[in-house]
Amino acid sequence: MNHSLLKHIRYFFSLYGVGIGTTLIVLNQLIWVSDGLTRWRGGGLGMYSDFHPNSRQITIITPDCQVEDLKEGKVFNKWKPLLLHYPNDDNCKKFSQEFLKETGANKVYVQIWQPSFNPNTLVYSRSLLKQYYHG
Amino acid sequence: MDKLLNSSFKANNIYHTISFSVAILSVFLFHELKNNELGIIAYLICFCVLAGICFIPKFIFKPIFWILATGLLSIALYFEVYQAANHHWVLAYLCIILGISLSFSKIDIQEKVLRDNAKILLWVIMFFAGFQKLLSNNYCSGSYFTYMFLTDSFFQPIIELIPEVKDIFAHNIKSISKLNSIDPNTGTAIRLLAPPIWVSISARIFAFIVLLGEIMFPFLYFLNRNPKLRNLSLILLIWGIFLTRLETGFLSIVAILGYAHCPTELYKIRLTYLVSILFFFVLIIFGVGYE
Repeated sequence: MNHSLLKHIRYFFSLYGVGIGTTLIVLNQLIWVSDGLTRWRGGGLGMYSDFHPNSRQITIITPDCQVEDLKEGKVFNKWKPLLLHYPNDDNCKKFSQEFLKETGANKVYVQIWQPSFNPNTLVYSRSLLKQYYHG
Repeated sequence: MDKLLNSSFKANNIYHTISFSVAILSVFLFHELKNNELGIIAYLICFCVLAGICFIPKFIFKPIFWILATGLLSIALYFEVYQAANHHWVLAYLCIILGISLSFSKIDIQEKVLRDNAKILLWVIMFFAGFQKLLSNNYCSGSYFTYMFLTDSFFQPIIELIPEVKDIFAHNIKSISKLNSIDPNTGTAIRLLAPPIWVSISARIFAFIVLLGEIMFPFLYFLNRNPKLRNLSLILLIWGIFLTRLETGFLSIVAILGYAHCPTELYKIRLTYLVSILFFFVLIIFGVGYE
């Protein structure tokens, strides 16, 4: 009896396990999306549903340094992909801490901008997706 | 023609599915090795993989090969969970279902398990790909689609044939690039140029049909019991998506899943899937499209 039950369980998971697993991964990704992850990542199958994270821009403002020079640094280049894909408070905080350590600055504003496009008027600009202050 | 098809396609789907899955896995592996700057280790891994496939061909028909492949892909996905593209995930699912099917000893049970898993995986992929679009404000408002269309990111094979429209889109790309060099805090905006109205309307209708196809795909299986029509609708969907965007990597995996779930007696449809897969592979090899 047990052997037959095990066989049925194995057969059930063989047929439906992957489907159930994929659905759970997608639902988990939707939770991450509510926290700030882009729909394009995380296994949620959300490609082409929203602006690609590479169309976003990062602006760093600190009273102590020139804005343009900041983007040459190691810390910025290391964190850029994650800031574009998952700009939540946690990632912005970790980036800011390392960035302030690298540059010696005391405070920093991190801004992530995304495309803002009106399909009726065809006006294109950028809107602020996330702003984080560390200081 | 029938005689040629009958003799070539007496083999079960599983053989071709395995062969093409190994090919796409190899392409993915070599692409990752080239990008990760591992130096001489990359060359050694490439050599070992090719030698393995060459000298131990039966290994790819054992479940352990696919479980190992799933394991390696899962490790790569774990480290890049927020940055890996969706077709990396789908490739991992393909490896899992091959591992599960091959774990059964009888070939007809292997075929059935593979067919049912591929069918369910296709349902989940197509449904959620469409569902995510409905959840996105930028998609539902038309903002994202119109932006992609006006910046020559959609329907590229067709737009190539209309130079005036291509020039308009090239102008839009240049304007956006200029705007992006200005600090966003200034609030500067630009107006993009539109192509002739018939072009915009055709694009929207086509995109709506593809979206409807994606969401309706799993439900079509319950509405229509004819396997020929079901498989034809999937082939149409794959080519519809291809004409919209040259996603050769993702579509080749979807076509492999399509082939895996197609009944063996539908020879001509299986041939269409195989030709599609080969076509996408050729584009991937020559770097055309978005692998």
